[in-house]
Amino acid sequence: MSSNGIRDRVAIVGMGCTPFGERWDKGVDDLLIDAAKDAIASAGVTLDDIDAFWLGTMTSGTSGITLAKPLKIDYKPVTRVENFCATGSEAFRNACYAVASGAYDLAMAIGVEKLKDTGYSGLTGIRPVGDGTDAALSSQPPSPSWPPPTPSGTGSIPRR
Amino acid sequence: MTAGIVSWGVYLPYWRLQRSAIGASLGGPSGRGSRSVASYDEDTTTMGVEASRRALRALDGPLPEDLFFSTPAPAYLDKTNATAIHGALELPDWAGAYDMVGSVRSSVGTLRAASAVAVDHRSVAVLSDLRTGLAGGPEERDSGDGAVALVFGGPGDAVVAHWVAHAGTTTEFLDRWRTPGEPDSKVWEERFGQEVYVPLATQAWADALKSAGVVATDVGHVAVVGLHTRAVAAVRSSLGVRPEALAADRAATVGNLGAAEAGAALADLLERAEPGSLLALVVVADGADVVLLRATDALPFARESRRVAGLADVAGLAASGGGDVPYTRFLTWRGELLREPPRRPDPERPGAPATWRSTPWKSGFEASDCRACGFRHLPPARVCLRCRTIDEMDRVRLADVGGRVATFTIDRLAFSMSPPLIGAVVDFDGGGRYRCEMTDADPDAVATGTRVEMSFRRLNTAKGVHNYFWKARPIHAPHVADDEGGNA
Repeated sequence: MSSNGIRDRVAIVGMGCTPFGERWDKGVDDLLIDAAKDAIASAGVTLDDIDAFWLGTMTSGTSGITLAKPLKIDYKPVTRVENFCATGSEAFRNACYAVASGAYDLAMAIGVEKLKDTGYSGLTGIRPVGDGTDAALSSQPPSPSWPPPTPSGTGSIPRR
Repeated sequence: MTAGIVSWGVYLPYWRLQRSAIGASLGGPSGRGSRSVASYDEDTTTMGVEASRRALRALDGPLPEDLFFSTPAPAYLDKTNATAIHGALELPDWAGAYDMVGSVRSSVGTLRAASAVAVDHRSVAVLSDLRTGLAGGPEERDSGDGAVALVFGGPGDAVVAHWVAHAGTTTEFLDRWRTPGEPDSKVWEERFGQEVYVPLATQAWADALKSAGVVATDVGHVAVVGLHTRAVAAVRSSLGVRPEALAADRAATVGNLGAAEAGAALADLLERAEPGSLLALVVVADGADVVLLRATDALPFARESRRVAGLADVAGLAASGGGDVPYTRFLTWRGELLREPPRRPDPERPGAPATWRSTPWKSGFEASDCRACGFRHLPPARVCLRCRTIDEMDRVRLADVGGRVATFTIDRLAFSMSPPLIGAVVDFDGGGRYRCEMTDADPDAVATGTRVEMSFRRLNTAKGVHNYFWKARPIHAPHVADDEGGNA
């Protein structure tokens, strides 16, 4: 049993970083695209050149779809990891091992968190809330008006 | 000449409640005919959007730069409802959008406001109402749901009816009332209202005619509207107009549209008037208002443009409802019949920042086209699904583009306020494919290839937040070209 280093077996070839802030102007998808776009531009590669992805996020999405959907990287392996405040370094560490092991030539480690789309300040642990249009998809659970709409628009069900 | 109407749009919901169905459920007579019923996914805002889209469909030139929205049944208080209509129409951000909420009478104020600003720029008055009432009562039976939009333009615009004169009388008295949150209006004894209303209307009528320098027999077409049926009938017979000038109402098939009734009456006058004829609208509500308009030579051309655009007239809309809604379903939609909710989590409220960022998509139904390869994305994307080019997209509005059903499923297990739930994949004319729910559809009539149009609806309400988005609804108007759609 031993822990072996991977020095000189992997290198960072590009990076991108969005501004940090409340970012009312950007959603999770936008932040991921912005960072990925800058990273591949600085490396001089395209998304197609990247063999595999490691996504770190605590509350901003579950599964690799969180990255695959905005980047349109169908058929590419995406692994989502989470380890509280070490989530970013977890994604980075796993991408490094993937290249060092020889499994992939080029991997992307990317981390995202959108804390200010929940409706509350601070670390609430609540996922960012979307624009509600996903509910229109027929494959989603039904999205009924419940309670039913009231003519008065007060949002309460008349009881008598 | 002054400002005037340049276009109009009328929206009546698909559903009708046969009045006989009320009596069949509750016992006793319930009258003949039917009333229009807004679906469970509609409110006064969504109906206002649909009416406005119809008003703009056959109109060339600039978009309105002021929108006035009037309804006694607002979807929100404190928050402006007109901004949702502004968003769905994608009016420029410098265009104003204001609510004029409260009473049937506010509809006249809305028309006057829109007409007044139209001297400077185009404006639109949107009148919408959703009327209920206690089960088995006259309010429920005789009312109807619907919305009307009237676009006003200035002297240089293609005005179809010039605003000639307005005169009004106002008196504070108790005719009908409803406190916020109540579904049902109360009325004082009808004979009292009639006694008060008729002199008020007579005075306003005389003042309007005098102001225009005309006499009653000069009026070509006149409509009298109001929720006080006896007063309206008495005023009609007291105007001194030629009998053939009196316009019929739509009470038998649609019911009284409340605050939208004045708009429906105006639209009906515009659809029947000869160029040059004098039109009169009399509104009897907490006083009386008389508006006189003069039809222009542009009116027949506007009517022809509307016909080509597939817009039915008010009489046609009133005569041809879609489906009959069972009375128990009507009561459920209106929150009067409490039903067992589905054993599902409550819907999540939409997030304010995410909704704000996606306004062009959520409100305007804009797709994105890849400049590199032409692939069309719904919802709009920043990375192209086909060629993965990043941030090279052009936005394109598909809200007003028709499409056809590529495939669909009828889900009889899923919970719906209007079962069965119909999910469809829609291919839009000129490209673009999207999965969405269908509304106002007969499950037995939906087929692959069914023509659909997008309709602005309320998907649900969670924690007091209305989630507005678009659904597909079948259209039956013939289309000349049927582009294959989708992404080749």
